[in-house]
Amino acid sequence: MLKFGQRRFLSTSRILAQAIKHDVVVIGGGPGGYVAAIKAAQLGLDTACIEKRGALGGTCLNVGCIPSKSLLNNSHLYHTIKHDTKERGINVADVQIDIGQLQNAKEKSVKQLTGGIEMLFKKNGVKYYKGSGSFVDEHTINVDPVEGGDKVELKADNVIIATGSEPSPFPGITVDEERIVTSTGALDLKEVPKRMAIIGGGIIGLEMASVWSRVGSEVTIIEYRDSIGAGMDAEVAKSTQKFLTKQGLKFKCGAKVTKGERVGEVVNIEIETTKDGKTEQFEADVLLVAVGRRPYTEGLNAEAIGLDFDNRGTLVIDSEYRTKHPHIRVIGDVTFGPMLAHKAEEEGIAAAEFIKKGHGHVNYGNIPSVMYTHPEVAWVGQNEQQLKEAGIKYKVGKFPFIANSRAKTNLDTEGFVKFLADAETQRVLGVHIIGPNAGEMIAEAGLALEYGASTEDIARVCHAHPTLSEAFKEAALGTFDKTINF
Amino acid sequence: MLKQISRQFKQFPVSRRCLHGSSFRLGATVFDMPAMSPTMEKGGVVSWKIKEGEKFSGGDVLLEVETDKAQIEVEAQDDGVLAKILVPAGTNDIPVGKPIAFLAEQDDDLSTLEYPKLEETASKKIESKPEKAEEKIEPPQPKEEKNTSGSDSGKLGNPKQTLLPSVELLLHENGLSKEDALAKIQATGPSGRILKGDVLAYLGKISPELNVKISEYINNKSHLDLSKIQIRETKASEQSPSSSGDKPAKPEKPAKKEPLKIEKELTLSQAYSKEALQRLLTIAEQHAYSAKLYQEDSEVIDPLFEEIVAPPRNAERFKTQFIVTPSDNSVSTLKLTLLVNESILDAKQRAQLFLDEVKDQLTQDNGGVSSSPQLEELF
Repeated sequence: MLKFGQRRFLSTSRILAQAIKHDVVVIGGGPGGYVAAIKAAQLGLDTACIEKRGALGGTCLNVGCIPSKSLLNNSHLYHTIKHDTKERGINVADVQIDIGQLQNAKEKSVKQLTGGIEMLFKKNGVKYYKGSGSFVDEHTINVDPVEGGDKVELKADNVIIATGSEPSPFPGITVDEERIVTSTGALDLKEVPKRMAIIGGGIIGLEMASVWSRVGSEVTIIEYRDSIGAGMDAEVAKSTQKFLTKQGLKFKCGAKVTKGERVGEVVNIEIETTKDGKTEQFEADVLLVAVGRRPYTEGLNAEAIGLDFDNRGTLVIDSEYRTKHPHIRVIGDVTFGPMLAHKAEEEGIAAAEFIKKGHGHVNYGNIPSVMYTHPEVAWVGQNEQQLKEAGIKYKVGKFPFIANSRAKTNLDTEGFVKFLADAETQRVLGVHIIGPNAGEMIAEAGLALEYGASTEDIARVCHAHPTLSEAFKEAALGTFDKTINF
Repeated sequence: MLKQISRQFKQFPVSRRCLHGSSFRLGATVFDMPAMSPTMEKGGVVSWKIKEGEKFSGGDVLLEVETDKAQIEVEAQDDGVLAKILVPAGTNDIPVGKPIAFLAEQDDDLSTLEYPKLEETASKKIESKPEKAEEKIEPPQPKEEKNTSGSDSGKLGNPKQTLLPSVELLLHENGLSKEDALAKIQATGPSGRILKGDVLAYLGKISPELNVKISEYINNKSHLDLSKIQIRETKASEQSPSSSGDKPAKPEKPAKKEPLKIEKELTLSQAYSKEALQRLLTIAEQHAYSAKLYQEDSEVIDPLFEEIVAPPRNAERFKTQFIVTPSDNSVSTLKLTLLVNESILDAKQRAQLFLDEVKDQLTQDNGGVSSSPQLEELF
C-alpha cells in the first residue's frame, strides 16, 4: 500500500521534475544507516536511504567486520588442520592454502549479506537511492547517481547522517593499496606476503596479523604504546601479546614509524624507539597502516548548511544526536563515541525513535568490544585502569579456561574470564574475556550490566555443563566467594 | 516514611536531585547540610550565593560550605527556587543532615507553598545510619558529582520487577518479604531495580553512600561525554575575504602539487625595522609550530593518538615572504605571502595560527617596539 503510493508519487514527480519528499532521508547505508532506515520505516515513516558505494552495508559488510571474519575463520581452520590434528587423532596428508578460493569464499559471504540488506529494504518499504547525497539546503538533498541510480532531488523532514569513517592516513606514508595498504587492501591481498609489517597493534592490526601469519606470512607489528590492544584491560592485553607471540607474531612496542616507503616491490620501514630514540630499518613486502579511523564526510556539503565539526572532522551532536538544525541527526562513526558497527546500529535505532517518539536510548557504558583473533578477546564495561583512576574499590574474579571441562576436551584452553565487581555491592563493573568464543560469551556480561546485576546474580544462574560459559559463572563467583573448580 | 527516604538519599552528594519531581516531593523540599565527604560530620555555612526567593538553575553555586578541611562550593543539580533559608551564613558546626533551607521548583508559588514539618524528620536518619568505623575511602570530589542527574537513586523499587536471585536470597535471610523490599528499600538499579547493594545498604551492612556512589559512577558512564568538544572554525572566512574583515586570508584554488598560497595584508599602525619585523615573524612562527592542535583534557580525544598521527614537529609547513608597502599618512601595509605545504596534514591550520599570531603581535605592539622608523631601510 505504502509502496504503491510511493511509486505513484515518484512517477508524477519525474514528470513535474519536482523534488521527491520523504519523512526521513538517511545518508549512508552502513550498519548505522541501514538499521536507522529500516527502523524508521517500521515506525511508519516514509524513509529513504542514500548509499554511494554501490552496495549496502558500509565499511562493516564490504571492507571491515564481515570479510575479515571470513578470512579469520578460514585461515584458522587451515592453521588448525595443518598444525593441530595429529594429537587429536586425525592424520592429514597434504594441506594447501588456495588464496584465490579463500578470497572467493569471502566475496560470496559479503555479496549475500549486502544483497540481503537490499531485500530487507524492499520488505520494509525503504526507498534505496544509489548515489552520493549532498546537501543543497538543510531540507534538500541532491543525489548524484552511481551506476544503476537516478539523479534526483530529495526533500526531507528529517535527515540522519550516517556517513561513517575511513582509515586514518599516516603522515608521510602514501597508501597504494598494493604494497602499502589500509585494512581495505589487507583484506584483498592476492598472494601471501612473505614479510608483512603492521603499524598499529589495535584490533584491526592484530586481526589482519593473525590472518596472514596463519597462512605463512612473517608478521611484525609496530605499536607506539608499550603494550598492544588499545582499550583492553592491561592484564588481558599482556596475555594477548603472549599468546600471539607464541603463534609467531613479532611485536615492536614503544616504537614510532618514521619512514615507510615503497621501493619497487618492497617497502622500506624505519622505526624509532620512543624511549631512547634508537632507529632501526627493515623491509617488508606489505605494510599495513592500521592506526585508527577518522570521520568521513566527503561530498556531503555539510559545511555549507552550517553543521558544526570538531577539530578532527567529527560532526558535532547533542545528546539526542541533533545538529544545529534539530531535524538533522548524526549517528555512527562520523560522530562521537567508539567506532563500532554495533554502536552505530544502536544509535540508528535510537535516532529513528527520537524522530518518531521523542525518546531513544543507548547505554554507552555497555558497548562490548571483540577481537576475533585466536584466542578471541572480548570486553565490556570498565577495565582495571579506569576503575583505579576513578577511585572505585573493586574485586577481581578470575577463572582460567584450563580448569574448564569443555575447553579441556576441545584442547583449546588458553585464556581466562575476568570479572571486575564493586567491592561492597558486587555490582558488575566490567568483564574481560580472553579465550575460545569470548565474543559470544561477552553477551551474557552485557545483559548483566544492563540489569545492574551483581556477580552473585550470575553465579546463582544455572549454566549448562559442560560448556565454556561455566568459566564465566565461576569467575563471577570468584569475586565474592571461592571458585569451585579451580 | 517517604520523607525519611528522601532525606536519606540526599544527605550524600548534596544537591543531587533534591528538586526532582519524584513522587515523594509535596510542596517545598528540605535541603539538608550536605556531607562533602563520607567522613564529614559537621560543617559551617560560609555564605549563601543565592538569596531567598531567588531562582537558580542546575550548576549554579547555592552556597559555600566549610568543613574542617576546606571550603567547598555546593552546586545545584537542577533548576529551582531557594524558598527559605533556615541557617544563616556564618553558622558553624551544623551536623550533616540538618535542614538548612527549603527549596521549591521554579514555577512553584512561594506564598502558598507547603513547608514540611522539621521535627518529624530531623532525627530520623541517625538511626538508619550504619557504623562507619571501617570506612576510609578518600572523600569523593564534590565537583565530580556534577553530571549525576541521570541517577536513579532515591527511588523506591519498581513494583513490577522480578527480584534478582541475590536480592531474593538476602531478603529471605533477613526475614523480609518482597512487599517489604518494595515499600522500604531505595532502588539504585536501572528502571527502579532493587540491587544486592541496595539491600545491603538498607540492612546497614554497607554504607549507603558507597552504594549511591557506585550507581552514580555507572550512570555517568552510560552517556557520551559531549562536554569538551572543540568546534572547528569554519573555512567560510578564508574563502570569502569580504565576508569578514577580520581574517582576509584567501587561499587560491590549489592546483595539484602547487603549494597553497595564502596572502594577507596587515596595516602597520607604526613603522618597524626589518629586523623587528623579522623577529616578530619568528616569534609567531614558533608559536604556530608549537601550539597544540587538540584539546588535551577530553574524553573524545586521545592525545596519544594525536601524537602518533602528528607530522614531525619540525617539518616545514609553510614558507613566509613579506613586503612592506608604504602608503599615505605614514601608514604602511605588511603583505605576507605564505606558501603552505599541503602534504603535511596540519600545515594549513598552523599557517592560520601563524597569521593570527602575527596579527595579535601587531595589535599588542601598538605603540611600542621599534624606534627607528626608517621605512626606506626595509627595501
